[in-house]
Amino acid sequence: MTCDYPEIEDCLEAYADAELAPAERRGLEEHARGCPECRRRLALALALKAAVRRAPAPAMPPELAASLHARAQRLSRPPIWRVWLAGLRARRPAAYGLAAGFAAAAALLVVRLAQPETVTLPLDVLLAAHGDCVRAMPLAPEAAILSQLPGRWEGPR
Amino acid sequence: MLDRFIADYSEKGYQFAFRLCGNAEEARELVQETFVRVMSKWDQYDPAQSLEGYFISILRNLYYDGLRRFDRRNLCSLDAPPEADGAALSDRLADGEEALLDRLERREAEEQVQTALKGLAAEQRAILELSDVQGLSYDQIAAVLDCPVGTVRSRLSRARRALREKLLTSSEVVNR
Repeated sequence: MTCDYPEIEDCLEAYADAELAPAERRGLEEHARGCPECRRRLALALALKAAVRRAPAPAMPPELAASLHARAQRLSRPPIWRVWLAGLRARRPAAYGLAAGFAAAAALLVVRLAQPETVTLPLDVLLAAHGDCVRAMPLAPEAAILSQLPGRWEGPR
Repeated sequence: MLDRFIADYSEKGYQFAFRLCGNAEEARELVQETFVRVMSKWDQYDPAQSLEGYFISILRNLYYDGLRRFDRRNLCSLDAPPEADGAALSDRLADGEEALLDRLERREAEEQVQTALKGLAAEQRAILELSDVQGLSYDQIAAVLDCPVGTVRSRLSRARRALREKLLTSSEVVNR
């Protein structure tokens, strides 16, 4: 291209895309009036843009739209248990209340069972029990203890 | 709300997908996958962005994810420099522009335009679709493609140059 209009290529495309500021637009139009090459290139840019816009793209198949709607319905459907609860609440409020109560009790039971059982004893009680054990358990020689074990252990000789 | 979303965007989305993929079967799968992705990631949608732009950008990203997994042949670097033969070719092509303009203005090159579009790289078809068919502004295209406006302008320019060269080259062959 021989025209010396600044950044003419960019300007031509931006003009065709309606992206030029009004002053730039007027400037290019003024220039094109006196420049056959730019006038031709501008006309070509506009004609090409219009031709691409006219190029046919096939319409969306109707079954695709139906498939999308069906999928949207599935995604917006609430979980089956929520549907059942809503129905129960509407038809039998008393039964719903009972079911909700049982569910709460069951949840509480599960939580309690999952927790390890702990027992807290006062210190003096602990010490007294220890003392009782010590007094009740004689200090027996090892052999005497081991000889009471079932089996054929004969102990040291 | 989802039904309204489908009604408003599915047709445009399908046509955009068709221009990317080039065939109905892939376009249909791409649109379905895009809708599922949009609906499942609804909480990530930023209302400041246009919903159409959000939808198109997800569709485009899914298309390119698929291409990257299975076929790199169709990817081209839109920012790569033009081929070395450019100077001699453009001299010849300048002579044919008058005739091409004449045919375009008389709407006698519709089939030729469609063939030339199919011969472009997918990304070039996509940006022409966004600009010339869907009428998005440079700013809107930049938001969809997640790139600066300057990049949009240069990519559009290259896509149009490629389209013009295909049209002029095919006219040359026809006129010999």
